[in-house]
This record gives sequence, C-alpha cells and structure tokens, in this order.
Amino acid sequence: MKISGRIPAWRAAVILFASLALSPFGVAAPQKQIAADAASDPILRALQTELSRSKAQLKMENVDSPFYIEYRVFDVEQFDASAAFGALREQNRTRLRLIRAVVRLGDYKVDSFINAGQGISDILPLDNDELAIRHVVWLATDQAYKRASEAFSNKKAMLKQLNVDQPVDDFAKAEPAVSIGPLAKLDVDPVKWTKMLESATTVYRTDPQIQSFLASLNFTVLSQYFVNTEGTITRNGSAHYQIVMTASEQAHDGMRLERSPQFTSSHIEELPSPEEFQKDALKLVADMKNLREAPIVDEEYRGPVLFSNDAATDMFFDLIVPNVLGRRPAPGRPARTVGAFASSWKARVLPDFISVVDDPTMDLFNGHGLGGSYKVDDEGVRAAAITVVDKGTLVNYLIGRVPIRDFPASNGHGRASGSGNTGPAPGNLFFRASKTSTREDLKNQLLDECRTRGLKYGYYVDTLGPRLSPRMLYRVWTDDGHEELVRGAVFNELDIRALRSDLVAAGDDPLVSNRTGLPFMTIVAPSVMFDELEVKRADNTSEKLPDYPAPAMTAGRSGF
Amino acid sequence: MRIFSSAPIAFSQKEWEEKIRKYSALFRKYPEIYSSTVTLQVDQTTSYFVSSEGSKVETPGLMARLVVEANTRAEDGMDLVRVETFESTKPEGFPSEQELTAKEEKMAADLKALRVAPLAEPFDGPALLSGRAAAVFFHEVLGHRLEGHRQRGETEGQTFTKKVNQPVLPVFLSVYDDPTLGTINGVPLSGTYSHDDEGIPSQRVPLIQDGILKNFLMSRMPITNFSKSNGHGRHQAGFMPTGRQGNLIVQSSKIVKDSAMRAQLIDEVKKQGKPYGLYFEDVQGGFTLTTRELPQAFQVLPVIVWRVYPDGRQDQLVRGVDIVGTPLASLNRILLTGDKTEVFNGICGAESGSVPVSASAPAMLFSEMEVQKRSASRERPPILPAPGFEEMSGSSTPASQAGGAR
Repeated sequence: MKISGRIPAWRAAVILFASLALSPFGVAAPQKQIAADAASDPILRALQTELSRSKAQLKMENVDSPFYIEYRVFDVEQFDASAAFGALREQNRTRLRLIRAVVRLGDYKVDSFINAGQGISDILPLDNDELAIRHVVWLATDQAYKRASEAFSNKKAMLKQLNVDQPVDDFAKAEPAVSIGPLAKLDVDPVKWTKMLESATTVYRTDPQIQSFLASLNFTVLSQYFVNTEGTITRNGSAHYQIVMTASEQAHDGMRLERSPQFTSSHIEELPSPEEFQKDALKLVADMKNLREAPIVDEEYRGPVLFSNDAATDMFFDLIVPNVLGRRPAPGRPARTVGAFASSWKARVLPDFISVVDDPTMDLFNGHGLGGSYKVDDEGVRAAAITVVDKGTLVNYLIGRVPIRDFPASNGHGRASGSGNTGPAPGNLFFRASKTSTREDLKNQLLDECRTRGLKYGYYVDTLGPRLSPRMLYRVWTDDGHEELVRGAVFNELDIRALRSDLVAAGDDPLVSNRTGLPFMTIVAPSVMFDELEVKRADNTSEKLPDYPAPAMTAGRSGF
Repeated sequence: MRIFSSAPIAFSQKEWEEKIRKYSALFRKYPEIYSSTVTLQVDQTTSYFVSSEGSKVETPGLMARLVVEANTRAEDGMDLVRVETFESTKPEGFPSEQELTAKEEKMAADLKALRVAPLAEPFDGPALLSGRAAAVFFHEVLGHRLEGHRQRGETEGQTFTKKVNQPVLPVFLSVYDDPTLGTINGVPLSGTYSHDDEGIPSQRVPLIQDGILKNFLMSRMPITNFSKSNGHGRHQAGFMPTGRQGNLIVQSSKIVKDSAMRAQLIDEVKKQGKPYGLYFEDVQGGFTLTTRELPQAFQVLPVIVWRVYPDGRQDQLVRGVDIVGTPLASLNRILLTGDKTEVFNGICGAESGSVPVSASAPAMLFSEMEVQKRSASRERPPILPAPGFEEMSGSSTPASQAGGAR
C-alpha cells in the first residue's frame, strides 16, 4: 500500500498525522487570503453562520447534541441540446443549487449515519441572499438532526442483535482542510453549438439506410462548497463538456447496429471544431455503411484479442473500478468491502507489468484535461495520488471517510454525484504498464500468437458498446495482416479472471477517457492484449426491416 | 380542419422574477411560517393531432399560474399548509401587489391560528361547504366516478355504471361538464378547450339532470350504451387519453342567499340536537397543485374548518379534520345550496396524466357529514428559531390567541 507512490501506508498515516499536527497546510500568508475569500463568499458565510449556531445550540431533550455537522452545496449549471436529422430537438439551460446537510450523533466509533440518518437534501435559493439560504439550511439541519436521532436508536437496537467481531469505526477522523478555489461559470454561445449539432446531423441524408442519427451535448459546470464542524472549509469549481453522436440502423438481415462516438473533456477547447465534428459525422456515416455490410462473426473463436486504448479504458472502467472501491458491507457482515476484490488485498489482480494509480491532483496528461481532478474531495479530505495496484498486486482501496477493515482513514476519495450520499470513487485512474509495445508490435504479437496456434485470424476491438459488447471489431488475418470489419459479436468470460491471467501485453499509447456523469472521473489506459479470449456470435433476436423506405430525401417541406 | 392562432407570451421573465422575489420575501416577517414558496409557471403549448380519418387539429395553449404556498407545523407535529393559486393568460390578469399582500397576510394569519387550533373530534352531523370546498368535493367524489373508462375496468368500483336514468343526487341538483365555457362570473376556467386530445370537438355534456344520471365523460373508448366520445378524451403528452373532466359545473334550483346559509346550518344543528355544526371554508384535494406528488384521485383534505355553535358562541377553528364514511352517500344529504357559484381551478392528476381542470359549485348545506381526526406525523417543530429571529426561543413561539376566534 502506498501513498504518493513512496511511503508505505502505515508509516504514511503516522507521518501524515504528525506533520499535519505541526503545520496545517502551508504558510500563513495564503491562509489569510483564504480567510478573506471565505468571508467574502455569501454562501460560505451563510453556511458558517448556521453551522456555528447549530453546533452550539442544536439539542433535543433526551437526545445527544451532534458531534459532527457538515453542509455540502452543489451549484450546477447545465446546457443541454440535441439535434436529430438536421433539426434541433431541444435545448435547455438549467441552474440548480442543492444542499446536503449531514448531522451525526454518537461518536466516531459508533454514529447515527445509517438509513434516514444520512442527511437531508433540499433546494437552495439561487440568489446570494444570505437569510434565504440560511433559512433552508436551518430547516435541513433540524430535520437531519431529528432523522439522525431516530436512525441512531434503531441502529443501536440492531447492533445489539449482531456480533461485530472486528469493529471498525463508523466515521474516520480527518484533518481539517481549508481550500478556496475559483467558482465555475458556464460561458458558452448556445447558437454556435446548436448549429454545429444541426449541421452534423444533416449528413444522414447521404444514406437512407440510417434509421436514426442524432447529436447531443451536455455541458455541466459545478461549483461545490463544503463546511464542517471540524473546521474544514472548501470551495471548488469544475467543468465537464460532452458531445455525443449516435447513429443506428439495421443490417439487411435485421440485426440492429449502433454507434455512439463521444467527446468528453474538462476543457471546452478540447472539443472538436464544427469542421472536425462535421468530418466525424461523415466518418460515422461511412462506418455505419461498412458495419451493416460487414460479415457476421463465426460462431465461436478462442484466441488472442487486441483491445485499442479506447476499448481498454471502457473495459477497465467496468471491470476494475467497482472492485477497488472501499465500500463497507452491511453491519455484522465480516467482509472487508463489497465487490469482487473484497478478499484480494495483497493478492494479484492484474498481470505484474500493470500498476494502477489514482491521482486526482493531476490536471493534465499529455496535454489533455483530466476530468477527475480535484484538490479536496467531497468529504473535505485532501486528495493525494494513491497506488491501488502495484505490479499487479492490490495494495489499496479507494476510500472515503467510511473506514473498512485495515483502512481506518480516508485517502481522499469520498465523492458525491449531486446532493446524494458521498461514496468512494476514483478521480483520475491511471493504468500504467512497465513494459510497452508500439501499435505495430502489438499487431505482430497478435499475428505471431495466431500462427503459433494455427489460427487463420485474430481479433482487434476498436470500440465497445454497453456491457462491453464490441462495436467496431476487426478480424486481423494471419496470412497478410489485413483487417476486416465484422458484426454481431460478444465476448464470453471477459472478466476479472481473464484480466488477471490472460492479459499479456500493453501499448505505449495511453488514452485519456473522461467518463460521463457525476462525479467526474477519468480513466487513462493503453491498448492491451489478451492471449486468450472467447468471441462468439451474439444471441439476439433479429427484427424485420421497416416495411417501407424512409421519406424521400429530396422532398421539400409541405404545409400543414 | 381548424387552426387557432396563439398569442405570443407577454410575460417578462425579468420582471416576474423580481415580483416573485418580492412576494416570497413577504413571508420573512412570520417566524412561524417555516417554509414558503412563490412559483410562477408560464406554459405555451401547441398540440397537433392528425388521424387517418381526416382529422387535423392544431391547438395552442397558454396558461400561467401563480402559486403561493406556506407551511407551518403545530407543536404536536401536524404539518399545516395553505396554498393560494391564481391563473391567467396575461400578466395583468394576476392580482395586484396589494391584493397579493393581503392574501399572504391572510394565509399567515390562518396558519398562525391553525397552529394553535384544537384538534378535530370525531363528528357526525350537519356541515356547510363553501362553494370552493363543494366544487373540489364534487370533482373528487362525483367527477372522477363519471369518467367513462371507469365503467368498464374489473378493478373499478363502477359506482354509477348501472345507475343511468336513475336518481343519484337530490332532485334540485344538476351537473354538467362544459369545456366550451371560458369564464364563470368573470373568472377564467382552466378546463377550457376547443378539441379534446383525440381531435373531437368539445361540447357541453349534461351528466346529471335534476338528480338523474344521464351521461359519462367519454373518450373514444366506448362503454355499454355509450358508443361515442363526447369530447372528453384528455391526456398529458405521453399518456393515453381517457375520459376526463374539463369544466365541471354544479347547478342548483333550491337556493338560499349565501348570507342565509349560516343561519340554515344553525337551524339544522338545533333540529338534530347536535352541539355544533362544521363549516368547511376551504379544502384541498389531489386536485390542487401538489403536482410534484402522485395523483391522489379521490382525496379531499379539508384545511380550514370551523365549529359553528348554535348558542351564539364564536366560531372555533379546528385542525386535522378528515372526511370519512362514504363521501358519495353524503351527496344525497345535501339540503340546499347558496346562490353564488365559486370556481376552483387546478391541475388534476390521474391515469392519463395531469390536465388543467376547473370545478364550480355553490355553497352547500349537508344534513350529515362524518369526520375523524387525521393521522399526522409526530415530528416536532424546528428546535432552533428561524434565522433572523435568533432571539426567540425556538419552537415555543408564543401562541397569540388560542382558538383562533374570528
């Protein structure tokens, strides 16, 4: 287990606490500035006022005072638009400010944070009207306290019925953090973007076989605020810009085919220009034609499969991410965490040439914006680079302030997707290979492996769809190395066992894949090769084609 | 083919944002109003309908609604709410600032009085419903049961299915639904439309004539003996149309002046030898603006209810009243009505989604209405005083005047 890739964790924990106790976060001058920034922010002021009032006075008869209160404000501004067949379908600009108030009774060892005791969410006014904001905070705190008190007595009753043989604290201690970052603002010209969506989706006209063709965008900027009774005050802004193009059609035999290339970045300048987007749309049309004319895969294949970096990021996201999160099992359950790696601590989960590190503190990688960057997590804990898998061995879980066995402290991965509960999630998760090959080398390795095994072809998967089903999948022919697009395949047993045992090579081409949705996360991974994986024909029912053709592309608009 | 032109929206967003800020700030001076919202919703819609039978209908819709809601909680945990809604298709159709201020002050006063009002006791006796209360009562208890599709489902109560041409109401009452009507006494009606959502022209449908059941609210789904739509197939976009209400109107031929209704109630109380009668000033159904919640098709929630004593004592406000028994049975216990028709505009939620409707009725005197105590949460009022009132001692907000006498 490593923190910052250098210090063994048990030592790190000791050193961290010791050093923080001596000099909490930097020198005095920036702190003064931070205090001034915090004091000039009406939201932080309102939160602080209610926090100190509640801390000092909140008390019901026969119920303990809270030992901990936190407020998390989630100010989101979004611009969504979509166009289909060359025409705008919708555009919405929304702004919402939400608060989550958490009140904990008991102590760090056993607290009230369970079921209804996990806090109250409400809508905050958008105006920076301190009194109006405080009013909502006041009610949310009151309700959270009452719910916590009820949840706590239920929990105590439940705990009496369980044997908890290795008690883990309910709530990890954490050093207070103060960090006031700039707010995020959504500053885009909607017309430019909606025009781009409309223009790109007109290309469906070049191919009457395409049944749906749409493009949509979602721009989300977030300003988040966090204060707690331990003295943590944070504010930070982040952004997420996404454009997706989706086309679907049926092959002549009725097989449904879909593609949805997307662009996601934390920097709007990284999105394609209208000209580039138009080219991508034309490429999508060409891909769709190739796809529906492609042969169907053979019934069964067992052999080497090369995953592009794009496909690898999707695969790692689905297979690794859920299993490296330190999520506490239900009370009384003996497991360390939930997920497939619950009992894999210090065991091998990937080949020894792969290490996995989560580093939310990095903003850029090879010049690309990393969406999962943050300085302080949504539980007010400072982020640091965490080695999760060291040379194939699981050494750490990503964890927030809900401790699990052997992991008593947060490593800065308590994250929220809105005003709901926080939970462990990665920031920027890097899959790093200690031995890498060029794309050409990987292809040669694939062909060599095919020759050794007497296979006529191997597979190269370029993109994946939902549930890790291949979308752009190619046979790579052993005799001359040419690539042939195929359709209708699924992987069999693409799982954590295959990742541990059958992954044999990695490329030198790490790709930044900013994921969709909240909290913002990024996966960075290279191409990878399995020496053995099963590719088989998908068992889907095939529907008939539409009874009659699409409306004539040349027809003008007729009056109503 | 009919096309109706729609007027452009004349609401200035900026101006109205300022207005609702101001209206909402008025509640700040009341520490016992724990939460309040002022909402303006302006919808401009155009619906298009074409069918292979040749129908072509384009219908514009414009509706603006101002909703003022205020909440408090009694010491025993009962949540209390007052809602006022205003509807108009133009900005000047809404009440002026002075009128609205007066309304909000009344809401605040009502809530303050309700907080400390005694709980209702189980009661079975004479009751007077205001026109608005009677309108909601008829919408919920009668209107929904006259929806055509409810006469054929196995799971439906089918209260009226076999009652056609039989008496279901006192002989002096008639009920019709008329989506073609735009206003009553100058009040715009929410359930007005030219064509229903199946392209059928709207029409006035006599449902109950002199107490005799004549017709149902029909969509194009036929039922026994009623094979045709009467222009009441309505839906919210995305739902399948079913028979729904538009503008439900209750008419009476046994009328006394509104001012005489109270005396009539007292007479009835005396006649039955009851200690008091109940006056339902305002009720709230699934019919009101609780659009964020699930449709509660048949609920009638009285909010402002007074005990009226026969011995000249002041009326007494009570809270937590729930109407029980078979509300339907009470329809036959209507003795007479007032002379002024009141309108209740709202959004009605049911299987085919939320649709704007209205219900109109005069005040009504019932010989008998059964009520019970409403079950309520036991959560206490906020522990700390509201921000801005820190010097007060929290939940023990001084009760001004127990009983809320008026």
